[in-house]
Order: sequence, then structure tokens, then C-alpha cells
Amino acid sequence: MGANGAGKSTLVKILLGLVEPSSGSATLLGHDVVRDRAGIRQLVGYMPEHDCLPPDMSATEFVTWLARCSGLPAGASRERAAEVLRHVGLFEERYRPMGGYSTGMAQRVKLAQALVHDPRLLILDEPTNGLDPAGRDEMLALIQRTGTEFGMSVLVSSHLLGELERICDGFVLIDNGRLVRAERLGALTEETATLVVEVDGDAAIFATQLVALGVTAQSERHRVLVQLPAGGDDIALRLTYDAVRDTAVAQHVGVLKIERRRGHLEDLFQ
Amino acid sequence: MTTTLSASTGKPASGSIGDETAIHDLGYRRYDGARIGASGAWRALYWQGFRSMFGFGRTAKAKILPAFVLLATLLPALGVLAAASASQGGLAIRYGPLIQAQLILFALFIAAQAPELISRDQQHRILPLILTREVTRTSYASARLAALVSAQFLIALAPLLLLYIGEIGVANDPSAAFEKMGSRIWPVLAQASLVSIALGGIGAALASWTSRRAYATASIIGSLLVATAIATGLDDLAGVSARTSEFIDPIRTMRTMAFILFDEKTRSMELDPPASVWLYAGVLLSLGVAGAGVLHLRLRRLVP
Amino acid sequence: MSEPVSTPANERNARDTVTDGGRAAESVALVFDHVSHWYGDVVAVNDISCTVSAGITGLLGPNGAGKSTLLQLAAGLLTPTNGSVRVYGESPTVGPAVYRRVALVPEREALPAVMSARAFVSARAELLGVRDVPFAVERALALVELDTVADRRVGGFSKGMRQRVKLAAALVHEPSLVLLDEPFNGLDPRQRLHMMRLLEDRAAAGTAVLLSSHILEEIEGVASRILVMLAGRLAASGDYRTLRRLMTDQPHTVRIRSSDDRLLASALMQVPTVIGVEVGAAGLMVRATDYASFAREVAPVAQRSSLTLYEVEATDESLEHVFAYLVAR
Repeated sequence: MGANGAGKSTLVKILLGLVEPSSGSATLLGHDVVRDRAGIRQLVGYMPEHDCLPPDMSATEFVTWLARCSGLPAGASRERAAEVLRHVGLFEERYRPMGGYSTGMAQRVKLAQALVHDPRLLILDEPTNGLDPAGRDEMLALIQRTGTEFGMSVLVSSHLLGELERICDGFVLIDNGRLVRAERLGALTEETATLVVEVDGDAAIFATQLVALGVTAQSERHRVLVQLPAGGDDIALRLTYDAVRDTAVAQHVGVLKIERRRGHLEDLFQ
Repeated sequence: MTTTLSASTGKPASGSIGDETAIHDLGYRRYDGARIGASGAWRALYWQGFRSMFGFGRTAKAKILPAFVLLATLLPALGVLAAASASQGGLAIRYGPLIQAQLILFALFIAAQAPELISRDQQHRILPLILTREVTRTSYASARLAALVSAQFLIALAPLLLLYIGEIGVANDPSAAFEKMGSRIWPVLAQASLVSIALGGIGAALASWTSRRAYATASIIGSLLVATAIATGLDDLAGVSARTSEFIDPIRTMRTMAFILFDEKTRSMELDPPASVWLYAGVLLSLGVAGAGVLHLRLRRLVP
Repeated sequence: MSEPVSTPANERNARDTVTDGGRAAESVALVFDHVSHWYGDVVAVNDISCTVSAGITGLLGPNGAGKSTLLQLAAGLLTPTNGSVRVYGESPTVGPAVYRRVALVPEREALPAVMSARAFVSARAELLGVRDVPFAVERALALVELDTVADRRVGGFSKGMRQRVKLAAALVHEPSLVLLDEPFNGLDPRQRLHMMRLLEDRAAAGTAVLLSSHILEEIEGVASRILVMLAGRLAASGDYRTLRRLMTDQPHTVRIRSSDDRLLASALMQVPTVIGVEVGAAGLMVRATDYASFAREVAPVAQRSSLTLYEVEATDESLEHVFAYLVAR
């Protein structure tokens, strides 16, 4: 993740061997990115963000050809191409020229060619670009399955933080060419000490009533934010939750949500 | 890895594989088969390029130009052969003038097809997909250049071969004719190779500079026209001898070399004899090598 | 239940649309009246009637549903085959008088590569008759944060920068109806947030914004109304939370974690709107026919059984669920 111009695409190009670093080194699956380029080539699969499909080739021809360019024998290339196109969900369309493909089909072909040589590392650049909600769901599910089931490492570059939160286990944040943070997602998205309450009524009044009961609370638009007591005191914690419940009963309002607020990737960009 | 849920039938393992009741997991599978590495990749690049030079693997429209060029070069050769056979081998077959006419068509072929091979990859932005595979920038350049040159070689060879075989065939006494001109095969091969190397180098170098095919085609034709113009200018205006100025114009160089190779002469050649054929060959070869060099350099600098 | 925020602008428009046709039509930003548009044999927009007023309206639908065509009809780039489109009471194809109040940010557009950002936006401003062009251009470029690179050629811009040029060109003449087709494509998270806030500010000040997007989680937060298109037709319109309640064949599922789930489960089964409770590791999954009335029962039931409520969350209320339901119907 990173702002436009932060250096994400340059970093990816260095990892892919398309650009040489001015200094420093990187290793990919144990191979040095500059000195041992040859060892890396068949281990990495790349799905670019931009359009890259020749309009007069069919998906089958294209993916088969690229499989051969990855060093697979001709027969195996055909089989792998067929296999991988089925995996991404392209059926009869695969025999038609790609010029007539919809965005969804085009994205699938791009993913297929990244997988055809069975890489150990997948690098995906904006994989859901241009897809409608249903298509995004399917692509994300596809990526998740491919990543988690067979020990393939997946690096996803995206501006859509929501989907990154859905499928990623860790993140790398870059800004201005520098690394800002790189950690597991769990640490960031764990529960905070703030409770978010939504009720079927006036949030400000609800907050005031809670304060009257000795609870630290404030309203924010249509939600009430309650500060949970720190220090692992179970009894104080329960009392706070019960205060929320009791206030709802006293105010005759419906409880729509009681949830501990979690961190979001979005917070990193505020 | 396919995981298969199956129900054992309780029978001994002598049953055939189809006996079990099973739900197969058709999920993603690993590939553990052979990998032939960079040489297989080069061949794939080369063959795809070579085929696309003749329009195969592309739309029907793409086949028109190569077909036209082939026909336009073969038909005159057939015509000459027909005339020669009608005169019972009496009419001498002259390669020089035929080649002179063909060179324009070869230039057209290269101008149209080199961009298809090289500019198009840039236009469709597939270089990142190729260069992250078992293909280095150098091997990509050499595979594309090889495809271009070998396609042009085939096109240049076909009419000449036709003439050569035909000449032997229409003669009254084929075996005697073969003895007389058997060695003509070498000029045929030399002409075809040098033409394809030179034109291929020029075409590939110019095509690598732009991703727009139309511009590449225009620049290839334009460069050849400009070369002709300069050579003519030197000829007519500066009074430089034709023998010198024709090295500026690759087409003229190839034409004169053709005449030399086949032991024929034009009027201007009789007046002003040309230098050794090795010089001409050297110039054309250098053009090809320079073009290849430019292609490699350009691809090295490109950030896909 | 969160109601759509009622602003003076909203109220004004609501009042106006109730009065007589002639005067009312002028103040409504965009009205589609049984509009159809055909491309040869293919119907892109099929008998659509709806209105767009001040505020942010989300335009949603699968690819190919006709959203781009709808936006082009609204902008006056296409004339409907049937029906009428009215922008502030007039047809948008009429000419400059209407163009000055409308802006369209199309999804695809080739920007002239040799022009600088400033030149392009200035050209648009001049064509639209903006009075103080340099000032307007500077302001528009600053809004999209392109002021530092304004004099560079657009041809060298990244995708995100080109999007921002289009946005600046659309906002330079301060339109009161803004039509946007996937406008944030290529923008990074901070830029997306910035532009969304920009649109929210405009909307609060009275601008009508019709925003087509596939990123439902973004639309959810800002759109007071949505229009859902499916295969050229209007599948639904209105506030999505209200739409959810209209999906009566879909019971609402609420996840609850408490101090004693099983006890709470049996107590909840007494509530009339509850049609099922599933006990699981993550808590209870309660299915209810009427979300609003169930919500009012939760706290009292828990209090009566002296149970602490740790988590209450509806699992299928989001815009994504409403959209998926509409698409699947």
C-alpha cells in the first residue's frame, strides 16, 4: 500500500527484475534479485495492472505461449494453460480473441497467465480493477483460495483498503520511497478499548445518559463511542456493558450495534 | 495436489482405477513436470514471431500483405521461366533485374512486418509479462530479430530458388545445365541472406523506437527513401561516382551486389566497374549487425 | 436506525417536488421520465423514471447495466430514444445554458497528451463561459491537488493524475449537477478520501451529485440515496437501509455475544419477530423478520434475564448485501 508516487511500482519492478536497484539488495525465495535473476524467473508470477492482452489472440493461445516462455515443454504448456484457465473460471470464452473480452474476463486471463507456470510467489497489481461488485468478490475469493491452499505467497498491491483487509495476513506501507510499516495485519486490526454503540434514536441524548451513569462516552454523528475501562477489570467491564443495555431500556430505543472498534488500514492514511 | 474423497469398496486392490466412488477436488494443481528453461522459451518466442510474419496466429487481414509480397515476387519469376521454356532455354535468364524489382517489395514487407513483431509488443504492453519469464532482454531481442530475418530470408529465397531450379529444369539438357550452373546456388543463398540480414537489421532497429506501428512503418520506408534521395543527390548534383554513392542507399547496394553475384552487368556497371563483392557483402552485413546492436541497446534501456 | 441526514437543501427539494409540475421541475436537478435508449437492437436504458436532487446519489449496477449510458443521457451527450430527460426543467441537449450547470466525468476519455493540465482545464473553463478563468482554474487545480504540476504535459501523467485532471475540468465552472463515472479509479486511499469529502461538501451546499461506482463500501458511507440498474432497468431506488427493510423475503440475521448465550437464546425465542436462533462458537445468530422491532427487544430481554450484552451486530444490512440481493433476484 502507499500513496501514488510512493514507490510501490518501482519496488515491484525491482522484485521482478525489470529495474535494477541503485543500491542495496533483495532476495526472493532465497535468490538474489540482481545476481541470481535466472533462478527467480520461474518462481514468480506477475499480474500487471495495465491492459496487456493482444486483441487478436485467444486466451488459450496466449496463456499456452506464455507457459512456453516460462520454460514449460509444449505439451505441458497446453495442459497447464487449460487447467489454469478452468481454475480462474474461463470456459468457452477462452477460444475467442481477447479483443472482445469484458473486464472480468480480461482480469481472469491476466491471473491465469501469472499462475500457469506454478510460481511460488504471485505479485498482483490492482487485481480487482474495473470489476463490478460480484466480479470483485469472485476475484478476491480466487486469490484467497490460491494463496492459502498451496503455500503460494501472494503480494497484492491495491488502493482499496477494504479488500486488502479482507484477504491479507500482513501489509507493507510505503511512503515517499521509504518503508513506513511492515507487520501482520492482526496487530493493527485487533480490538481497541473503544466500544461503538448504534441505537435507534438520538445518539447525543444516549451519550449524555451514559455519562450520567458514570460511563465515559461521547456521540459522533449517529454513533456513540464508549470508553471501556482499562486494566482487565472484568467487573468494571461488565458494568459498562450493562450500563449501555440499561440505558437502551430506559430510553426505549432499539440496539442496532454493540461492537468493539477495530483498527483499520484506513487509519494509516489519516 | 488433488485431494480425492473416496469410498473404499472393500475389495482387494486388484480392481481397476475406475472402481472407487469419489469426489475429486478440481482445485488448483501444482506443476511438477519438466522445465526446459531458457532455450524452450527462446524457441517459443521465435516460432510465434516467425509465424506472425506470415500472418499466422493473427487475423485474416494480417495474411494479406505477406501473401501479396510472395505472389508479387514469385509471379515474375514464373513469367521469366515460362518465357525461357518457350524459347527452349535459348533466352538467358537474368537474375539481376528481377531482384531489383523485388527489393522494393522486400522493403515493403519489412516495413509492414517488423513493427508487427516489435512495436506491437510495446503497444500492447506485454513486455513485463515476457521479461519476467525465462526470457532476458537480449534473448527477446535475438528471438524477434531471428524471426524477422528468417522470414525475410524465406521470402527472398523463394523466387530465386524457383528461378534456379526452373532454369535447370527448362534447359534442353538438365544434367548439363546443372553442371554449368550448379554453383549458382551459392549466389542465391548469399543474396537472400544478405538482403534479409540488412533489411531485418534496419527494420528491427527502427521498429524498436516506437510502440506505434504506423510510425514505425513510416520511419522504415522514410529512411530508405531518404537514403535513396541522398544517394541520388550525391550522384546527380555532387558528381560523386555512382559506385560510391550507392553505399548510402541500402537498396542500391543490394541491387548492385545481386548483379555482381550473378555475373551480370548494367550499363553503369560496365562504365564504372564495381569494387569487390566482399565490400558489398561487408556493408550489408555491417548494416545488419548495427541494426541488431541498436535493437539490443534500445531494449536494454526500456523500462516496461 | 440511522435516518438520512435532513439538511435544508434536502428539505427544500422535498418540498419542491410535491408542488405543481411546472415550477417544481425547474428546481429538481435531474429528472428521467420513462427514458429508453437503444443502440441498434440493444436496449441500454429501458424505461427508467427517477429523480436526482441535491446530495449524493449512488448509481450502482453490474458492468453492462447501462450506467454509463444513463450518465451520458443526463449530460446531454445522447438523446433518448423514448421519454424525456430534464435538467433543471430543460432538456440537456438544448445547449450552453444547461451545460454551464452540469459536469460529467466520464470513465474513459483520452485527454490531449500535449496539453498541460492548466491548459486543458482553462480551455474547458473558457468554453463554458467562466468569468475569471485563471482564478477558477487555479482553484479547481488546487482542489484536486494538481496545482504543483499544473504546467506539465498531461501525456506524462499517471492514471491517478489524469483522473484528477478530469475532475478539475468538471468542477472548474462550479456546476450544480455533477455526474461521475467511476471517478476515483487510480487514486490512492488518501486521495479517494479527500475527493469524497470534497463531494460531500459540495452536496451539503446544494450540489446534486450522481456517482457511479463499484466500490460499495465507499458509497455506503456517503450516499443518501442509491439507484440500482440491472440490464438497463431501474431495479431499486432510495435509501439502502429502507430498501433492506423492504426485502421482506430475507430475514435479518443478527449476531449476539452475551454472558450466557444459551440462556439468551431461549429468552429470545419468546420474541415474536424471532424465527430462529443458531448457537455457535462466535455467538448467537438470530434470524428475525422485523429488524427494527427486534432491535427494541434485545436490551429488555437481556436485562430481564440479567445477561450482559457484549456484542450485537447485524450481519446482512450492508449495501453489499442489499446490492447482491437485488442482482440475484
